[in-house]
Amino acid sequence: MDKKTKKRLTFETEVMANLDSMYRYALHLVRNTEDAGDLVQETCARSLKAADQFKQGTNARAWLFTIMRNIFFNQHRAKSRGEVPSDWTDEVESGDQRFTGSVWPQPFELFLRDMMRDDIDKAMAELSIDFRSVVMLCDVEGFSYAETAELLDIPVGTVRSRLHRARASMQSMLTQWFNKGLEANES
Amino acid sequence: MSPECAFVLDHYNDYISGELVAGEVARVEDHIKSCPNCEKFLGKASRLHGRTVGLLRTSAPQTLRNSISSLLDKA
Ligand SMILES: [Zn+2]
Repeated sequence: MDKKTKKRLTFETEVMANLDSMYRYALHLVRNTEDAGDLVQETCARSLKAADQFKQGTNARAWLFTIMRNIFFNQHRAKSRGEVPSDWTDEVESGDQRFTGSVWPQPFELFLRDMMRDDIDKAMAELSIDFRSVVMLCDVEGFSYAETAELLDIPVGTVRSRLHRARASMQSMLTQWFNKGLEANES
Repeated sequence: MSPECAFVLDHYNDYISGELVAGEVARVEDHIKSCPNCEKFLGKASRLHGRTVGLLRTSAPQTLRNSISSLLDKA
């Protein structure tokens, strides 16, 4: 038995247990597998240095995600000299309205069956990072609205509305693509 | 549209996310027992949600897993 404390071992177990989640979250932030791997590595290295600050029994995943977000936004800020792309927020408003008022695709069973990972990735890529974030945190990682709000430092109501609009947008895009596919097959 | 149908439409996303309190969950579930439209709607929304989330749940590549593992070991 080496000198690693129990606390340290618990911490390492948490990191390994949350690796898939960290990778998914990184992937949604940077949008490519290579940079996602780097971001996870950096997050682990950083969190290791701060391991003493980690309180046992608290939400390790939320803590790791916060570290990752900070790294990402610092790097992003460094790259863009403090500018957050303005279209991120503007696009959300107009982009979202484009996709509201959709109906369910028919036949629904075929729609679900034919849906591919690529379709979902494409739809996610169309969403702004603000909207993708809530989908990843609430839907994929299962954080509550309140936990997500704390992580992203936004009001709970904003989490809720972004999530609803993101889902509606994705549904609408997926429906459009599915219908186009049907038309293409018919002609 | 009946007020109960409107309630389901306003809250189905929260229902899917597990964000409704017990009373609201019961209200949704009671209503869909007697409203085929809402039942179908909620069913489709839930299944689309399940499928989407399922497709988004990627795993970390084994190479990354290995390098993190050795990073922790060395530290
Ligand atoms: Zn109804």
